[in-house]
Amino acid sequence: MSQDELNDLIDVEDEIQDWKNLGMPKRGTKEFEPDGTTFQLNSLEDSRNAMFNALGANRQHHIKNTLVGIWKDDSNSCLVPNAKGNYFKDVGKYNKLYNCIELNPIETIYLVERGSMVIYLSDDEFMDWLKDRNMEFDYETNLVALDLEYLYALSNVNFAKYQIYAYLKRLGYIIQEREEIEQEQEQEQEQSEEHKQDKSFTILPRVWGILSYPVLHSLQFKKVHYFRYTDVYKSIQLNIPKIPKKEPSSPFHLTFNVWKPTPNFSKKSPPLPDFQVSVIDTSKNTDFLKFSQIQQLLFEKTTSLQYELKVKESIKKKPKMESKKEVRAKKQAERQSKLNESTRLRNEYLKTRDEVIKNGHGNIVLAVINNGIINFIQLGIGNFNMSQKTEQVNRLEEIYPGRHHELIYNEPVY
Amino acid sequence: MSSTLIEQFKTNLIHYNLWNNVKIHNDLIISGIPSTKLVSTDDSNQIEWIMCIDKLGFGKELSIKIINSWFKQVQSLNNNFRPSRITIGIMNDDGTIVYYFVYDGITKPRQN
Amino acid sequence: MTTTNKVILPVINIDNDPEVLIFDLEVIKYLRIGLNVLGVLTGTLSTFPQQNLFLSVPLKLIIWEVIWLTENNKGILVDAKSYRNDKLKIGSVSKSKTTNNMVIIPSTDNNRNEELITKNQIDIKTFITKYLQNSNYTISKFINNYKYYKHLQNSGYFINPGIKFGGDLVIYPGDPLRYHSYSTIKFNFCDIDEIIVGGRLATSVKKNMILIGYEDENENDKRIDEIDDDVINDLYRNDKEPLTFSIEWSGFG
Repeated sequence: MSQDELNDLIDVEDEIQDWKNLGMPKRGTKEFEPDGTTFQLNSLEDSRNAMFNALGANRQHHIKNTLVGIWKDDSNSCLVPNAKGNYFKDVGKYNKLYNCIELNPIETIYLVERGSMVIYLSDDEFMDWLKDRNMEFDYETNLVALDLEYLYALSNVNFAKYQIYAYLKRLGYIIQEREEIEQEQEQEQEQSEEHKQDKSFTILPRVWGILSYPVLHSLQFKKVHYFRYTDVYKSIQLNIPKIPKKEPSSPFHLTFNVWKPTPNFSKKSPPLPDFQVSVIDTSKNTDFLKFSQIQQLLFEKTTSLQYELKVKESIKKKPKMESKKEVRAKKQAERQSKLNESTRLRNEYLKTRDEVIKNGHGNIVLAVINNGIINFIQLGIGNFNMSQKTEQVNRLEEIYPGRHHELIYNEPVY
Repeated sequence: MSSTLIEQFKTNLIHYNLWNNVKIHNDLIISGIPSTKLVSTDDSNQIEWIMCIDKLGFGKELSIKIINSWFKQVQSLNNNFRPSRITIGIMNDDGTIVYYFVYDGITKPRQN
Repeated sequence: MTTTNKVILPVINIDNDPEVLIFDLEVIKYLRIGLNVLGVLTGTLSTFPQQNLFLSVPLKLIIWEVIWLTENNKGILVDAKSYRNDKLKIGSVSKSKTTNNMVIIPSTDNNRNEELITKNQIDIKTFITKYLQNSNYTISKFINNYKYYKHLQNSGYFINPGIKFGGDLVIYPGDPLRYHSYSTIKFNFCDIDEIIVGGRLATSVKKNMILIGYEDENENDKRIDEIDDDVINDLYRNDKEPLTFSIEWSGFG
């Protein structure tokens, strides 16, 4: 979720909402303290009733859209023999053995909780039927229906992970759990990358400066004449080497790949995720991540950066509903197109440079959950010296080639 | 010669906040009487006890133990009567001072 | 003691990060109206499934609420999986309903079976031990934190987790549906910086910050391996009330 989107929500989310405002959440309609008046008591009863009525609403779907899932306790998963509807665009995996879609516990609970799927407990008879699928299977007569509580109990679901999954899913994001194998593969790739790096470069603390002349050279420590500020800044630039990984194992991993809603999402060959999320439950563990653990998390992401250098193949179609952000961006673009070319380029340069400095690269999202309350934090690697050639950094070079983009102060070149 | 921390607080209370009867008790505590009552629910302006803290020198943590010790110190200066509130004066690194009430026990926040 | 007057506190995942999740709306009402226990709603609201402001059943109870309900004999911890499986064996199941052409998934079944409840009961010692498996709590910190919660709960406040306001807890003079919160609660200490920044001013009513704690620290800094009867006795003992101090901007200066 972007900072803008977060800011849009933040005021309203701070207050516990009155359920009378279910359609339109509001701010500031509450009282300071109970005064025992009938007015207040009635008001409280109304709000409570509104809430309890909402909580008592049925989880349901129309009979003609009936979607059935069968819970298999031995595999801790759910089989969906007749998968239909949009849900399975990103949810579930095809199971060859049973020739149907299979859901993990988190996906199962999500669909049942929102009322979109009804779920029964599997038995031998059903498993037999699954092989041939002659005739319709009468679930209601033959199997035990699970209520939501029973499903949660059987599923052994990781509740922290589930809450983050459901939160993002409700907002329309596409989300998939990262496989363990994926994590290992990326770590292997990362280690082989490190061997290739030229370590001798790290011996020089500065790009220019005190060691720009070899030791004992006659010109060392003598004054160097500077005629431009840019050269001054260049000479005091630090060359900070990448810190090598140390800790072999950490309890923190990237948990989910998340994509913004896109109509052409393909489960089998998904595009590069828009966000990579690590779920962290701080309800009983308040130590923030150690530096080595943060590194480890970021390294899990880093290798996918290789893809950023390649040209993106497909252009995503824009979803129909335009968010406020997109409307704003459109208006901005309109305004920009009215300016002349060099001003437009300069504005684009400055904006892109700001983004590089602000966001760095290799960003991941920490989904911090504490007693049921969720906060998202973006964590990334700084790219202040722009040594990591991201798409944006390359764009800067395209606009003003040869310039020191990492120096904020630059004499005007053109 | 520059004045001590506690003298700077005294100056601030007398000349900036217009308090009366401002008295330094030790390195930490000043008492005084504001010209008007500070909280609408007070009966009138009354003697206030200020803990004078330099933010940089104090360290990060304000603990139950420290605050309770302040209340006990004021009690010994105040006819063995434990006040219902004391005030923390915090001097920032730019010399400005902010004052915070510390009430004994759980109180409602002031409604404006 | 009979189980009939205690509400069921279903435990999900007893072996690994156990949670108490309440699916029964009548229990939720009773906890809120009768006992001032709020919990946190975490489920998708099926009538408005694409937002996160209003969430539905299940209600998650925070650890202090669980202990308080158990200590006061208001609730009984039950292993949800084995309880429901036992009920299934004796043929007690819910059926999915169909009304008005809608297929309905119930949140829970409503049949208490006292014998099976007793059989599948989880002792508070076991629950706490399992709960604290993946935590960095020491024994004394855990006991003290519970006592702080207990002091506030027994004083009649409504309590929610405080993370949104940078505190350990947040308290309300009445039901949060209608009343603004008074205070952000911090256990044991706060930073000077936190006082100066002054807490959240998102609402028209300013909050104050309340520090709650014991003057003398407990010496027991052991990590928790196993919770024994001594720990529970410590947890429930009412010998000393914690100290409290309320901090807010003075309005002058």
